[in-house]
Amino acid sequence: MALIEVETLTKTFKISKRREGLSGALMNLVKREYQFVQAVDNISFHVEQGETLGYIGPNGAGKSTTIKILTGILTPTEGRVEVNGLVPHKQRRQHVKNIGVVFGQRSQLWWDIAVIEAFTLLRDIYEVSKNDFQKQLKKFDEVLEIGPLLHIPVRKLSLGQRVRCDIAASLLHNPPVVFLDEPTIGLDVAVKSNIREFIKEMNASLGTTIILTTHDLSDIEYLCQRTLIIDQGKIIFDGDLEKAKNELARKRKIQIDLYEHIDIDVIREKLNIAQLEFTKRNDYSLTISFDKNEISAINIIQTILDHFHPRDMKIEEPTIEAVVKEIYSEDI
Amino acid sequence: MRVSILISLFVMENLRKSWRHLRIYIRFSKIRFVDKLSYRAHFFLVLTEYLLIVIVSYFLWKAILTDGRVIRGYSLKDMVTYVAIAGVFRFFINEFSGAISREMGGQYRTGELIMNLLKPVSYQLYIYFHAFGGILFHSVFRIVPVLTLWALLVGLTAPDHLAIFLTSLVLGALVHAGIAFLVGLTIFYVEDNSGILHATSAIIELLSGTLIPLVMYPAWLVSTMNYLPFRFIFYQPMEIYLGHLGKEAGIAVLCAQTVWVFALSTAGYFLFKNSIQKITIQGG
Repeated sequence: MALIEVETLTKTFKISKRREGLSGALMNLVKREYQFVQAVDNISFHVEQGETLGYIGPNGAGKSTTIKILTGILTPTEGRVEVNGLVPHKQRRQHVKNIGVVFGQRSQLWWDIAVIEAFTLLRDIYEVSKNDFQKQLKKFDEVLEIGPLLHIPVRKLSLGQRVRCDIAASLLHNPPVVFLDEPTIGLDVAVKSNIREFIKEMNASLGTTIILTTHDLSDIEYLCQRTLIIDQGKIIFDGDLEKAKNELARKRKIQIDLYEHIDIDVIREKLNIAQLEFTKRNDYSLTISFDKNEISAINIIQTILDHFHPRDMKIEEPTIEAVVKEIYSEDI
Repeated sequence: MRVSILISLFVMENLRKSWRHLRIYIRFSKIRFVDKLSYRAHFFLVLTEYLLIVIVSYFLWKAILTDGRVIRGYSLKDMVTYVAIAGVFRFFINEFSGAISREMGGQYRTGELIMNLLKPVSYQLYIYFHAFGGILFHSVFRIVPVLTLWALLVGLTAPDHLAIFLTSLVLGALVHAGIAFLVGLTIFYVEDNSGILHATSAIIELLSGTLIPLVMYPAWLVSTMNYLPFRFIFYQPMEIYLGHLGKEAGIAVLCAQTVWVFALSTAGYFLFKNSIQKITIQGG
């Protein structure tokens, strides 16, 4: 049995439509019209213990809705969800003991009290021993540099400081399953890479299962062996994004700058390969696109070197962003 | 012998567990208590409001109950005590509608509710204990000093059956918390429940007896109120305080209060369970 099981999960929201203007507002008082939005549409997937799963998709695709169902906040309209053998929305209190949740956009800490007070409260709630608690605090301080923040009330923290404290708070009890919803939002590069390292380390040493949603695809590239892509409530990709990068983005580009004037017909003739696409950038520069599975870049470069005087050459690898873009557009 | 050891171990274990749970909720009370301490100007303004109301009602009743007159069992001496305590009791009413009903609405709108749902604690108890912190604050910093002052300057009847009175006061607070929680849940069903909150505050003030003793209302209203929980918030504890109810009647009140506490809290528990299924959070 997998750690997280999601079968034919559907969540429909009922939203009251607003009419425009004053007369519309008056009409709303008398008669409301409702609109049904299918945020998550019949999705199924399993996550094994110890996996780091990336969960991405464009805005409004249903990512957060799925996370909220998995954490027990939302009740699914249809389908079955089980995490660690528990049904999140039915056995909420037992369930949340086993999970850690970071919503980058909203705080998990009590607004009015100092950070350390919130931490000790969480220590009592999750029944963490004093010894373990001190160890955790020390570890978090090393990675997240939260030491100087401990005695500041939560409401006075900046976004970056708050997110760091939030991450620490949600991992205080060493939960076996961690949900990270945009955890690196608003953080600077140094802290971001610290957090990445920390997540990777936690996954490796404790076998923590991690579900990560983010818009920063480099997070995904660095951390996740497996990625789910959701769009308009449906899963459109489930697998290794690195592999997808190799399969899907087969188109490679070489940019060539020459000392002499460029005549495309001459170059085409010399190269003598059918499936090449030429784009002239200016009189001295052009781009050649080709399928990397069929044509080797070396052949092209060699021919150019033999017959022309190149000033510079650049091979463009597809970026992970381009891959995801391609998956989105294929879906449409 | 062995069985009794096992049973006592079981009981001990459960007591230990309950105590550990209770300690967490008490910390929610503490947070509210400390938070309250930080508003000084508010403190003095509310105190002034209280004194004005109590002094006006004091002179009103002094004018009505001249020459040893007694209305429906209330003498001037009773009334002086009644208005003084009813005056400070308004702090409790404000605290419950503020820390419970209004707070729940605020948490729903800001998403703090979600944060609380992600913790392995009971939301209902968290909200209750949150309010108890405020109640404790009012008791220590307002009610006790003000009533001491009132007792020295104007005079205050000593309570009959002190233990029964205090118990009924605590149970009354629990009835009140139960009502406030149910009212707070309306935020799940309407977009803005501030009208409902104002209305219930007014109803509670009228029907709990903080304005005037309930016996002074028309007979039909008094008999209606026997079927409602509001009188157990303030009026019944005060009847015990003033000695209008004997020991047996007092204990009967405690029993009725316990039933109401149980009924309201259970209703709150199930309604909350039902309500959170209606949560729709937009954004991603």
